[in-house]
Amino acid sequence: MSGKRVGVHLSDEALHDIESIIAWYTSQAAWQAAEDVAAMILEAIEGLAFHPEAAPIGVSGNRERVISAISYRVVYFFDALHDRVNVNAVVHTRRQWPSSP
Amino acid sequence: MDDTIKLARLRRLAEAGAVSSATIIGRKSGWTVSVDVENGARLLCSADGALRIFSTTDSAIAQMARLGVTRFTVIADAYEAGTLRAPRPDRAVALRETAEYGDWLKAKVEASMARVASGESKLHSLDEARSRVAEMLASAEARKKRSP
Repeated sequence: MSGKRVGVHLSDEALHDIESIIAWYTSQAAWQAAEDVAAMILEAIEGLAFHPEAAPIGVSGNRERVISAISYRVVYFFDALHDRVNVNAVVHTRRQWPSSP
Repeated sequence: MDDTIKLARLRRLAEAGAVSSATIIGRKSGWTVSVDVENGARLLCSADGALRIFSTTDSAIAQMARLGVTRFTVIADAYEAGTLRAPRPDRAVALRETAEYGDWLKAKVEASMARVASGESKLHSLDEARSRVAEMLASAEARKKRSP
């Protein structure tokens, strides 16, 4: 896959997850953390465009890119036929959070 | 009830060459050890007097080998496989939580995919996601400036 870039999209639910995560940090007045966590999540998602098969398939049945520094995982489906990544959820690695809208 | 012998006494007898052989006896979820000493068979017990139950024959053999006893008879008639000790509660809880988390994540992802497949959920480009996040952070920044 090196050098090739695939399309990356986020579902409503995945975007809602990211917004919930940012909202939680800002509700705690953790402004810098909100920015940092958002940046790391978006950076991880952007990286999927270049290495969509790098993350293993997890219990969700989707591929799961774990961002261990902040304990979140990006759950996505890679459609190799159409060179396309759909991010379906962004969740904490251990807690059942954020919940679905 | 058979007579018992504690490990410390057995060790002394073994050092004196008074232990001739041992029998490993199966029971529910484990194995006991009966040793033949000068005045008859004795079941190995713990320091507190409770019957010493080994989870495997290997662990029983290893214990006896440390005393220099290396010849055994094994009676497995009454052996029933099972777990000697209850699982550690913290580990059991952790495993259950992991399973619950897995179920939750699977359901969440399946729901998200189903909504995308049915057209109920819109797909957003990465640029669109960046814009939404930037808006949220800008709004948070504004609140921060207003907050005391």
